[in-house]
Amino acid sequence: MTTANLMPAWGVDHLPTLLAHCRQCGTYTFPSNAWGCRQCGADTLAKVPMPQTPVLRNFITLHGDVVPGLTPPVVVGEVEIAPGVVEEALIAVADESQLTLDMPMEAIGADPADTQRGLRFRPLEAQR
Amino acid sequence: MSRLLQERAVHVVGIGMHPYQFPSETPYVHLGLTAIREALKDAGLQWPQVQAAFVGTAAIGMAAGRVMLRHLGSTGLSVTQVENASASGSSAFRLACQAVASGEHEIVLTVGVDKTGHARRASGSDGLSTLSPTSNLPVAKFALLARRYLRDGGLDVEALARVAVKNHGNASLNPYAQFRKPRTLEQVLASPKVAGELTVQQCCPRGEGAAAVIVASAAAIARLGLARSRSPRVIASVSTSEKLGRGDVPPIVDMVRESSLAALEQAGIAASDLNMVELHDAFSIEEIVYGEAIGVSQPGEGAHDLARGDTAIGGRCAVNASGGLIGMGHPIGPTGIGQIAEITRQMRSEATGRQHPNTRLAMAHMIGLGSVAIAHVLQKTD
Repeated sequence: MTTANLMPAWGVDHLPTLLAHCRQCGTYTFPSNAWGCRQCGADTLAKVPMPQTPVLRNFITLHGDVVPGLTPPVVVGEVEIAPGVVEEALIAVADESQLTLDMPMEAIGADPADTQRGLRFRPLEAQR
Repeated sequence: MSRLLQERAVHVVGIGMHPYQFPSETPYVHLGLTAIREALKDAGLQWPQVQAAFVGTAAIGMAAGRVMLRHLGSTGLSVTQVENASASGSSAFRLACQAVASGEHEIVLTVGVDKTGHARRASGSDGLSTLSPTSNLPVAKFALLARRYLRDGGLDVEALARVAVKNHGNASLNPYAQFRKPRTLEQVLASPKVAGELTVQQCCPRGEGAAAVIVASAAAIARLGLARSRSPRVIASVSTSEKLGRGDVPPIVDMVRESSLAALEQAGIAASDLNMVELHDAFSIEEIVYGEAIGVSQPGEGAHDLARGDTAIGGRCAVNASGGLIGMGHPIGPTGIGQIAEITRQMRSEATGRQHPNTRLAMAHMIGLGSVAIAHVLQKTD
């Protein structure tokens, strides 16, 4: 599994401000630079970190060569990063056998040096 | 729209198609004009009688309508181009129905035409980044949905593959379909995996083509002596978009449920009254979950109904008798209008080789990226 030139915006240094929290209705929105609250539309948003340990809600393996720069097989998951906010994310495991539903996850950089500037998720250290 | 459609009947009086096909050098103008000329001939109308045209296309570019339509004669009619992703054609059809139902026009053309490969998605230009490069990739989204459905229902991969077997079989009987070969369960399962449990033969192909439908008021049908019995009536038209998710129900499934429910209410019928549904099966899982959302199947029963033949031609409610997006193809702009053409053909008992008996009430349902949903209900006219 390799990645190149993928999604440079979100790196580990953005984790403290990954989400937006609406001061009006309390809904979380991803990403934090969204143009308004996805629930009420207010633009009074505060940038906040993930308010919970991310949780893996679903996952598959991408077998086909369908994203330029993303070499299959790649594991893709649905990760709950805040209450009601479930986002697709790349899962940094060799194969699905290392995953179970509802397992806690942690966000890491795209590579150890985070030079690719992308976030991935992997099972929390204690779970691996 | 419900009041308008009740007060002023809108009928489909003409249908025409250019077969869906793999990408080629054929100019889009040829594709579109082939469908339009066939629709005009089918209706028994001349081009100058058409007062407005709505052109559904997602990939051709600005002002595709007049560039194409001028070859039929420069009559000065109203021309509007409509882009709504996969629902472009359905949205164009809805606007054509509104134009007649409102009384502004009596005879309106809606044509979908597209070439593959030139469409750009707005999601790449919103100034925001996603967590994953797959976030806007439909095949990943629907593979995740499929995994969830199979897991929750305790089903195996054959449940999904049967959708493709049915729809490739239906398409093999449709002269306008992109794929014309029946596929066995073994072939579908053995085709290369794309994402999760979805194999290539469970995914719609890229392609091009055209579909045209002419709608007219009841007054125009009477005045011009058109064949009323060959002209199904549009009794519901609904357009919605996605809301935030609630609980475990994926927002897109909720959207399909709400839009189809609204269309059924507008039509004054129940889902169990539908004899036929054409829906967005770009990936096999969609047919099963949308069939349940529309009410063709009870929740959790979609795969079982499919296996029993309830959704086959000749079954309780034929789903995608045309071959659907998987078999007939999904050239984007034409797709939703092709659904209306198929339903019309079935209601006229002119679907040679794939005729579903006694089709009196049918729904055409499309979704588009984003997501949006468009639902229409048609009723056979005696």
